[in-house]
Amino acid sequence: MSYYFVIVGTKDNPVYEAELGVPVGRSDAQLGKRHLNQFVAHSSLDVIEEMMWSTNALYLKTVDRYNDKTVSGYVTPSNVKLLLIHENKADDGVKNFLTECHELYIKVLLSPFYEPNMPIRSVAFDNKIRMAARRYL
Amino acid sequence: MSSEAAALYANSMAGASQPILNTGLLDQARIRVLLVPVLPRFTAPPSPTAPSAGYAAFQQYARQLARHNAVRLSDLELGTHASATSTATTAAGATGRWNEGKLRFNYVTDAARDYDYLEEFQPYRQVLAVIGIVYCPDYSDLADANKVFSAITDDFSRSVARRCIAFEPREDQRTADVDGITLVPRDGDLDTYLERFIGEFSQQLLSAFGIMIAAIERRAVISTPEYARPLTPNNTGPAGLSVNMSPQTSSSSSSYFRASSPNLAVANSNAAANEAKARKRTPGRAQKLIGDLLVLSGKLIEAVGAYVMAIDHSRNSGDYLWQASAMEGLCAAVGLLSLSDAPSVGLLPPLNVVTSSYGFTLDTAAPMVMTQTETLRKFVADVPSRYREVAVMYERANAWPLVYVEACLKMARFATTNEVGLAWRTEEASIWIARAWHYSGDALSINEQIAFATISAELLGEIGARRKQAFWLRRVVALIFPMLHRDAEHGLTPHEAVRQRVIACLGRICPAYGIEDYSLAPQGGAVSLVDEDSAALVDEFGWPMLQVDTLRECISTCEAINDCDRTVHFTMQLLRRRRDYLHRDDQARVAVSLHRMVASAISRGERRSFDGIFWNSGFLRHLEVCRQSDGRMPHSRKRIADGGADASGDPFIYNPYAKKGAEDAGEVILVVNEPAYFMATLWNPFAFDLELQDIRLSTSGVEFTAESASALIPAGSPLTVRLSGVPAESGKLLVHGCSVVVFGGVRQEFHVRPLVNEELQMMERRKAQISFKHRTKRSGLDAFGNAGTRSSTVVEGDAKIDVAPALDVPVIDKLALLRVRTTSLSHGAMMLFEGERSQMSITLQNIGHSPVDFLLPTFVENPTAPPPNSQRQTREDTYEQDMYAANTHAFVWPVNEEGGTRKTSTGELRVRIEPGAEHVLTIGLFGKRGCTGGTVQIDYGSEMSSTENIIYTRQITVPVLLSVRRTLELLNADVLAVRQRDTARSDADSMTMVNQMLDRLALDGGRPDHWCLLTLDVRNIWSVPFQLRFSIASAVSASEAEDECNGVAAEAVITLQPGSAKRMLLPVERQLLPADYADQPIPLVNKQFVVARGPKPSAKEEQLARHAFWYKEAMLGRILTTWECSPEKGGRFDLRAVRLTEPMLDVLRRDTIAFSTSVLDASDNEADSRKEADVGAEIKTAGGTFFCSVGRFVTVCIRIDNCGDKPSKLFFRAQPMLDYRNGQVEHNLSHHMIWSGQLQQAIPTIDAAASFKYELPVCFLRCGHYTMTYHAEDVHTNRVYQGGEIQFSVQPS
Repeated sequence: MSYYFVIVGTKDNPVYEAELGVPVGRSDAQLGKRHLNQFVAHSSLDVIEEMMWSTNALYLKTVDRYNDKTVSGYVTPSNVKLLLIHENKADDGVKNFLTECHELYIKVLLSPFYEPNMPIRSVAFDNKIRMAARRYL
Repeated sequence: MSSEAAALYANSMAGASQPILNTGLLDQARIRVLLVPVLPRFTAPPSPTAPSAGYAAFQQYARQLARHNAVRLSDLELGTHASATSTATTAAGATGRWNEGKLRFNYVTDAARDYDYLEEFQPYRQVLAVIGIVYCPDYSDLADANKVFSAITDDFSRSVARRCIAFEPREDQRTADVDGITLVPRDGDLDTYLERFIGEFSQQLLSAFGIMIAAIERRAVISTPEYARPLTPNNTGPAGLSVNMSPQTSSSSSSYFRASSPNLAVANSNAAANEAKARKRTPGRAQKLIGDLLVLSGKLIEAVGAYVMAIDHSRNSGDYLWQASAMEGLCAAVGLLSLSDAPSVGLLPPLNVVTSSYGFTLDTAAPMVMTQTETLRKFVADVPSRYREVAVMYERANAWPLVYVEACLKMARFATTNEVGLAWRTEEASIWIARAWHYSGDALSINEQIAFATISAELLGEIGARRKQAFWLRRVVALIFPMLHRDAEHGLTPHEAVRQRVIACLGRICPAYGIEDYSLAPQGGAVSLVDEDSAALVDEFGWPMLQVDTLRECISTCEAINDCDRTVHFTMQLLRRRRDYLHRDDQARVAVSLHRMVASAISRGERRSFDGIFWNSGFLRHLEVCRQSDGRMPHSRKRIADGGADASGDPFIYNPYAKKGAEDAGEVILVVNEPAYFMATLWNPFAFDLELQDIRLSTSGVEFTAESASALIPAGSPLTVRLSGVPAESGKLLVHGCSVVVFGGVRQEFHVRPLVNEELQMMERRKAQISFKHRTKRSGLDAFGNAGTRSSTVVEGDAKIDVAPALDVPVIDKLALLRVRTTSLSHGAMMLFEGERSQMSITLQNIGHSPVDFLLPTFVENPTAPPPNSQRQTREDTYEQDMYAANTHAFVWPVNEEGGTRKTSTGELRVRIEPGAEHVLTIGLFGKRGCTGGTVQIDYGSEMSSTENIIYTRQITVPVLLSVRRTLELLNADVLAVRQRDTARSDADSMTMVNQMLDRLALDGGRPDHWCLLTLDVRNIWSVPFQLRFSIASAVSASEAEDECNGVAAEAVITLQPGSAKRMLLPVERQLLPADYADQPIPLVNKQFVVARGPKPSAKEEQLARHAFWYKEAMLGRILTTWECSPEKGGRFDLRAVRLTEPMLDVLRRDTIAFSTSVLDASDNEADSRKEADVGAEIKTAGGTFFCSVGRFVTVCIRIDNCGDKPSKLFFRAQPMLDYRNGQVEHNLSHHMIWSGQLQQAIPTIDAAASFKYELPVCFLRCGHYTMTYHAEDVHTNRVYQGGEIQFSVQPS
């Protein structure tokens, strides 16, 4: 099962991207689907921006679908969107994963060397995200 | 072929009369009516660009007719059609309900035949009626029009109603009775006529529907039309009238159902099985078709009943396809009922079953309370769930993808409708669209895919989902690109409509991904400037990888549609904003492709140049004006009035706060018609070498001809380029930046703005504003919209000069130009002996176009190395060293009368050098010790030509190399005292002056003890003999520099052979300088006090040093020494190296108290033997001893002279002694001599320049050798003035 996780900043800019659970050589980019996940994630921002005003919850459940891909969304109070593209149905695992990622993102925000919308290049953050993916997805 | 496909796409985008996909929920209630123009046979086919009069009239009347798109059944006359209605309606017994519905028309002007196979399944797709529009002036006889119309309708054999309507008939045509043509007279209300016509037409249609329903009821087998791919664009003719269908002349409605057609052929192998299944399913299918026709007829209640039955039958027989279609029809019928004007609730008793079975909650239990709004709301609430079932059934039936996609799009459109009031419209619409694409996207033809993606984008765009819209528009572009590319490869130009649509697509796609869309470049020489802050904000926005992909697609698409401007724009944007995400090779490839495309466009003559923004900021790092060569650089000078007074009135000699004004502050001044050079530092941001094809300055202010330059900037490196140009008029030249052409012809202007304080503050404010904006809650695409769609501002024509220029350079009128034609120096160098005086000449030539009227030579000497400071320098050494460095000049001007008469008060030389003329300037040279040369700088200009307060000059410099050799060396110097007895004559050369002086003293009666001898040992260390001339002046010369002495007292010349040394004796008068003069501190040349490095000298030492200095000054002031080694070479020999030591000083300085002695014979008041003695200069000669006799009184007279300038109070002592001449002396002389008076006494105060005479009568009692010593002591200072001794030789009498 492959997942694509992305944190999108307030300027539609990717802050962090990760392909989770993808065997080497099997990522979309390597399979010739050039940035399909990114395009799907980008297009689902419209839905998120609409849905976030109609609920108090940060976790927006399934926000979009494209072919066999499902997009689950999570909006932080600072308007940063956490998107997970997956093929199975959204369940508690997805919710827990996104919540965990939000907490990790908050910790990154606490760094005095980090400013909002800056790309996150921390290896530790990447490892923690992948650990959370293994735990919840 | 591909163009046709694209045109089809374009038609669908443009909302043509017959879209490919029917996405309206209620589309199936509209009767498709084809409007055709009935044009004469010889008329050329209608051309959209230049329509004929008949075609224009058709368009006009078609529009008029299209307004009548619905007819109430109640407005129609009830005819005999009631008998033909279905059993269901009969059962309802509701003939009166005909009046409640409407006939709705869907007028089309062309009818594509792509979906013939679906027409039998969904009758609303079929052209059920044809209306021909005749423009009467085209025909002489309307019968011809009728024939033409008949021929046209032959192509639409399955239409059930065909009518022809003729407009603007002539009088003769009005009377003619032509069967089948309705005439509309010119006069009268056109709408009324049309209404009547439509009414009749509707009745005809209703009759036909009745017949069709009856025919359907009679059919035993209704098969599902076989799925056939729609005709590909390859075999589809232009949709329109010339479609060549199988001719069916019969206009009977019975021909509606074709027994067999090529498209509907059933495979023979499965025929039997299929027929059995079809027979079983026929009742349901028949009810579905009847329902469709009833909906078209406006009989909604009956239609609902028919659909209910159809659904029941289909469900029982597993006929999913027909069941789904029936459910769609049911939705449409119920929807129309909900929307009908009259309350629908009372009309629905038969729907009890329906509502319970299929979930429509049209509650009939309380008919009176249900309002229309409520009905509609419940219908709206239920439709999505119903359509989900429909979609599932279509999926299960695995039938035509088109039908399935249409159903999904209907729901997507339904979701996007405002009135529906869904909370999450975007999500709902998006999911329906994604679902349609997922299950059937690939099965659709290219045209259908394009139409699907276009409609999806349109729907999503309507609800503001711009990213999703862009997502689907990208797919549209991706689908259409192969066709465009194929066309481009074949050299075909795409249709303009297609081109515009593609451009519109790109215009929607780009902003969604944070890409700046192309906007038309301003015309008329305007310049586009990059707003750096906005550009930075724009650059932050967006998803870089997606931007790269999208930009690549945009570039490919624009290349395919041959839109050079947009290709350049997008390529520039890719390189400018996202080059970091491109591989080095990719960058180079993109650049090469751009270069090729631009060059090709320019070579084709489409454009002369392209404006682009390939770098936001920092490309032009620095711009500065180059100084001209020293000889050409103008300098500004303030004109000084003849009186020399400064016109500014500033009382201070130097005022640091005064404005420099026009004084030469080192700024560069350009001259008209002379080339000006600027240095521009450029930065190549790309990973490939950037070739600048043309780079030139961008200026304003004065006319300036900028020269073009080219350069190659290495990847990621800076490069400094020299740009040039020629100003054509005087004034202020404002340099804004430079204009650069790269990539084969893409031009961009770069402006450098100087950062003055106000601008820095403004930048700070702006940054603060931007960060404030950044803090606001604008996110997503709003943030990009806020940053501006174009990161550049456009400054129109004249406003260009308002931009603060980077450089502000003054340009002045023509200036004269001189050159050095020749100098008297060979190779610019000259060797001088130390102290030598020589001359050089410089020949100047005017090579300019203006005369020169003044010259001002100034000189700069090369700095000389200070002497090695190995030993401790005294203050006197410092003075001598500084004095020599400061006051001795290697260059002297004016040399003689040249400057004397023609020099102005400001030191300039008045000349007149006409263009082409020459002038010789003579400059004196002096062999200054240690000098290595210098520069002669000649300022020149034309003062007369300028009336302003400022004049401009130029400078010409002549470097001169000097080597100064030391030839004579002063080895030693001493000062010797002269005593009377020493005066002797000699014939030696060195004694020449002494002899002269003795002669003079003898003549003047002077005292030799007032003179001393200065001995100088001089050696010739050069290789040629030197003649040294010494002169002693009788009075101190006024200036040391003057060669001539005032009144030569003595003069001597000695010849020094190479390598030899000689001693010269110079008689020097002893002096006594006033105490306050001699006690002055040694002056400082540099006016800077330097703390001595050694220990502080005692007061005595200090006084000695001061006296030595001032006595030396006094002594050297009278001595002039010159040398000569050849008639041409001569100079001064410097004696300032002489240092006076204390003994030398004592000799040179006369005491303030002087003694002179005499012995007088007391017996004879006049001395018979008088000897004067000078104590200090006594020479042991026989004459120095006084001879006395025993027992004879003599008077010893000692005269004390006060030579000082103050009175002296002295205490005088004298002491006689008997000298045994064996080293013993006897002081007790009571038995040897007697004297009368005091040996010690205080003498009265002696005034300055006065004297006192001490007299002591003595008488010697015994023979012997007596000595009397004496001295005087100052009672105030205790200074003792040694008097000396007087020798007596006493002989027996």
